[in-house]
Amino acid sequence: MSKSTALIILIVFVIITSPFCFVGFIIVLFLYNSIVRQKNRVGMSYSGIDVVLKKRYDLVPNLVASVKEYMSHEKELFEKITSLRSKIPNATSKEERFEMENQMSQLLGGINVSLENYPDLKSSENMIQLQRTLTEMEEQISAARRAYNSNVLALNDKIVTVPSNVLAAFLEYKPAIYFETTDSEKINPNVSSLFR
Amino acid sequence: MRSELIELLRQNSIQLEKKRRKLKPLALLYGFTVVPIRFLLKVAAVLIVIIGLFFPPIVLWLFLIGAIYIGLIFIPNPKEIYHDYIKEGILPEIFKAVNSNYKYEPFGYNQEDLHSSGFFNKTFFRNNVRITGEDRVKGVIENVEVDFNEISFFREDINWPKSIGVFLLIIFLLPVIIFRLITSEGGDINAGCGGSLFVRDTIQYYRGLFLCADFNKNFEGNVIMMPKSIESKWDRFTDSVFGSSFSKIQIENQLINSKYSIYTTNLQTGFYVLSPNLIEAIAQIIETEKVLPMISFNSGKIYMSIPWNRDYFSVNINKSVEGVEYFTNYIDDIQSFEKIIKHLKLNVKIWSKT
Repeated sequence: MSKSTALIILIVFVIITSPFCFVGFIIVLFLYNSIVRQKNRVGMSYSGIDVVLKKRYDLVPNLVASVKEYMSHEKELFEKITSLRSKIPNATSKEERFEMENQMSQLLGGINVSLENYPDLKSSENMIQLQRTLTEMEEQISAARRAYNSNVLALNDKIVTVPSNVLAAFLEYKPAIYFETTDSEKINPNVSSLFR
Repeated sequence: MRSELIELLRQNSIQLEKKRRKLKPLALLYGFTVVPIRFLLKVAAVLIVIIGLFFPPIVLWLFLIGAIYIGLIFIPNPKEIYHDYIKEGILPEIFKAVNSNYKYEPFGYNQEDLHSSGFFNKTFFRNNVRITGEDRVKGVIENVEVDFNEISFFREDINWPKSIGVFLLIIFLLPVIIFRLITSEGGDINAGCGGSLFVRDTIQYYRGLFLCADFNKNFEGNVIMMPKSIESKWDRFTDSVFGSSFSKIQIENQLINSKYSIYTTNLQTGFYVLSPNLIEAIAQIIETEKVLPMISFNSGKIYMSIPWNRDYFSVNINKSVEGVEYFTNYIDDIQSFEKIIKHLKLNVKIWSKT
């Protein structure tokens, strides 16, 4: 729906309902507030993602420096992490940034997997603390992403459903993009493990 | 079961059976004498008050009945002696034997934790007049500090049959009361008119297991999962009209979304606390136990109230103690508490508070 079509629909609706105590105007006002509030919520939750991703961004050099010299066989992995980290600030769109951050999650997860081959390093106190910090960071990113996606779902629902879609078209709101999960997170949880 | 535990249970069963055999005849005697006498004294007191309206004085008779009634209260009930013997003498030993970390207290609850849970913010618990707690256990299960107990909530409800009875009695006696007041010299016309005419009973409206444990994530804020079935519609209405410091969230599990209203002080905290694995574990508890627990998370702790409407570690003087098997239900109850903590995987700490 174009902006002009939406404007015509809104004007006609307000005029038709004006004899009934301007009820149409009140409805439009209510819808406007609701859709604008939801858009703000999306913006706020995006900034929540930004904060935790920035934390991880700052943590990566420390992580790499701590384990690089001990995990000599994983040189390629660390090079990829360092290279990706340098590209993230140059992302041109949300989609591109989300994609790179997902790759970063996978690569950092790869360190945990590789650690299995270094039992001495794995059992060191510093490494355990570092792993915890990394896991905690991933949990926070996951929470921020789910909060963001939940708000995006609510906004996108308003943008495509009647009658708020008319107002969304007038305001030229486009459906926001989701921060999709990484492939590793899409694997179904092992429910049976909960009963062991 | 371990051999030391079995031996302890065997010794306890022998002692308990001896005690039971000694107390059972006394309980029968108590049931056939003290209980009916107390009832008859109550009836007599009412009759004396009514008769006293026609033939005063009544005070001396009432005093006599009151004195006998109070005297009877001091006669201990053998059933209660047996109950206390198990709760104070036997159960602490069993708990200690099952897990050396456990500390058992027969009565009481953690008032501070109950208030921190945030359950009282909701209308469902606002009209409560009394809370009682029993079988409180503190301890450590797989490195998680826990505190759980049986809890009951009471409120006052109008007893309509009794209230109507009182009302009819007043109407029946009204001419006599008016006559007495008119003919008496210097009588106090306001006497007996104070208070409500409604008879109120204290009823138990919620009973279950209240559990508090250290949560495996460190966070600030509050998340409450309230079953829709007990959530107040008035609360929902006022929240939607006047706003609230809590915002409502929808999570990725349809079962939970359909059965619960989830409120959080911060959206991101809400999702951080309710990780997909935890949601899955809660859904499993709902499906296997067929109950809808109230759950809240507040500043690094989890609080859960499971409406299992039954008396844990129940005591029955008429049931003979036949060996170790008598205690099987007790052990099962202890293990059911442990199962919940293990099921939620609270021991998998991903963040240290230090």
